[in-house]
Amino acid sequence: MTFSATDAAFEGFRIVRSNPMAVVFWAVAYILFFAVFFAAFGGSLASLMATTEGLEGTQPSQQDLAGLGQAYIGFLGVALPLGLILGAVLNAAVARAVLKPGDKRFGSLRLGGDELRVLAVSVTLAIVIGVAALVLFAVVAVAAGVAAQTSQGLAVIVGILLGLASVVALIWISIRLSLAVPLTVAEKRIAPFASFALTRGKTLPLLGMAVIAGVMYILVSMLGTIIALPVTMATGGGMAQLAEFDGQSTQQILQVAGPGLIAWGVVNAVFSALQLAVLQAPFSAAYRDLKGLARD
Amino acid sequence: MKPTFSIGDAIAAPFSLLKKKPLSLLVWGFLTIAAAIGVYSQLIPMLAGLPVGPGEGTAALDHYVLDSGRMSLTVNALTPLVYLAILLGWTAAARATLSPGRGDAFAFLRIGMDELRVAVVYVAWFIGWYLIVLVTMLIGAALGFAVWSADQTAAIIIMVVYGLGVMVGATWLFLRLCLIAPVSLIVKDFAFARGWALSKGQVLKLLGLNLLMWLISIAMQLGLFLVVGAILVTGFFGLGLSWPQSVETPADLIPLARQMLVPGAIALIPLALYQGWAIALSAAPAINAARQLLDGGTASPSVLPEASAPAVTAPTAPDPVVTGVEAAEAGDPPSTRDVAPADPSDETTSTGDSSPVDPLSKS
Repeated sequence: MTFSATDAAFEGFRIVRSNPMAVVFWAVAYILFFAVFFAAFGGSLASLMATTEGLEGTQPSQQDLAGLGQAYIGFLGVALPLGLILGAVLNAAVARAVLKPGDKRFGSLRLGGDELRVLAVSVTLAIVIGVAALVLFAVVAVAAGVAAQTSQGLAVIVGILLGLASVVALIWISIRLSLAVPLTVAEKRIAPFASFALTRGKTLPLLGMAVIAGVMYILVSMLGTIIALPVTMATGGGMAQLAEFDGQSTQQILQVAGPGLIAWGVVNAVFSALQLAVLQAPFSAAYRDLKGLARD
Repeated sequence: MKPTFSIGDAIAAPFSLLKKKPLSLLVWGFLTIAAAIGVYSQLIPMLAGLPVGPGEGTAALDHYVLDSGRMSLTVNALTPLVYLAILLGWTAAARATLSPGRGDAFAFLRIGMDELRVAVVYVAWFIGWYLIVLVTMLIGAALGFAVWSADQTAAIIIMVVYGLGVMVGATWLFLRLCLIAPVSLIVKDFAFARGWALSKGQVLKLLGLNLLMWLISIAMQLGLFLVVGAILVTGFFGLGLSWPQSVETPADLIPLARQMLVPGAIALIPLALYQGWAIALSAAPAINAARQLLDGGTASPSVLPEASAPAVTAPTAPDPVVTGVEAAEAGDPPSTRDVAPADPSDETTSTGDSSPVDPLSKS
């Protein structure tokens, strides 16, 4: 069992080089998601963007904000489940690409038991970490409130110090649970907390790996912005132009702004796929190395 | 015996590059200037329309506020290109410092794993350093706020002392972190712990080195202003030009700017040379110091064996960090090893120094 954090951090780039078609498939998955979402809600999205732009620089009334909030909740109601499913499919694909590199069909994309298990594990962990955050910050708020009885300054100090401790605790929990997805794919079982045992004594190297992967994610994102800018400017402005089509149907929007939206969608999908590989693959590599699995 | 480094050798490194590889410095300078011009020229349409002159302040401000949001979006999105150019120049200068006797058809410029590692180190370093300083300052502000209600004089004294403490601490942290990128480039792996360990006990020397670099850069900047100013003034009067009678917006200066294109182009040469030198100044001393410390003594790269003589490799067990990287790179994206000619300095990376293995590298 040899786990090199700096080595694992580069796993995403390794996948891109050894299996570039995987990135193409993942990008296609993003494009499909975008296309389905836009086909269903293109017109409403344009109205929402126009409303948001209209409120910029003004003092929105309670009624405006309530309307906007309802519209966003409506979108989230559809986008969130779809996004969770897409996330589960893609995260499982990345894990499979690292753990079973020989099986390259469809960029390791599948829709089966693994994906359902990853979905269940992801939702469970999101709830666990969300609840942990809620409890920790509630404790911080209560402690700061008690300290405020003595002095406002003491309350600020208590708030900052306990807040920092809470952030550290949340990072620690997240790192300890970070191998849950590859573990689920590799062992074909729903065991969201099994990652805890596997990561014992490895928190710092895993944190270092996550930081390096995170920074590389930022760098890829910056590269994406640089490349996307001239593409979207040349093709009409991407999503930013949507507000101009307030009140029009999806079909009408596509007739006018189709090329720009497609260009925006393709560039963003490719870079989202690259970012996915850069950010997620290192955790699968860490799982593989910690378990002493073969690299094929 | 604790390894150390010679400040003299380190500070001589950029001058050595200026003397031996002036063309490379020019290339690095032109690269960064071209990127900066390419990005910031996007602001010209906005600036050209700014009303100038007496009584135009409010109108200029309104105009600027209206346009800056739209323009800054483009400029902010493209600014990473300037950082990329500086990064490429930095790693090229580092490579040139490590290969004192060798020329290079591409002015030591590469795009590979070295660049990625240095970029990651600097971004992580930047975020980490700023976060720590920010949190420390927040705690200080809260401390001052807490004491303020009891005793205002004591609060001011505490805040001043704390502020000075933060400044000293931030500088110390900056110096302890400053060898991570050079060491990462030299050993061709992330060297967070190794770079940190290497700077232990060297803080004062590194402070001296950085102060010296700062003083030299100020002197060189003054020299640059003199040279560029002399070229532009000579061009202006030599061409018999005169300042336009009325200038209502910067756009009114465009005809004059067109006539000054030739002197401007001539001024670009010292400007690019300075820019290249500034990059060399930011990279070469740190690289030289890191190299000396990794070698465990004060041997500067300028006295290391040249390409013809294989550099010394440790007879002991191979460096686990480097071994790990080589193993990793076997199936990795292309590193500079793949695109660059064999660099004799690469072979000296495994020096058998006793610094700890990076805990991120092996577990």
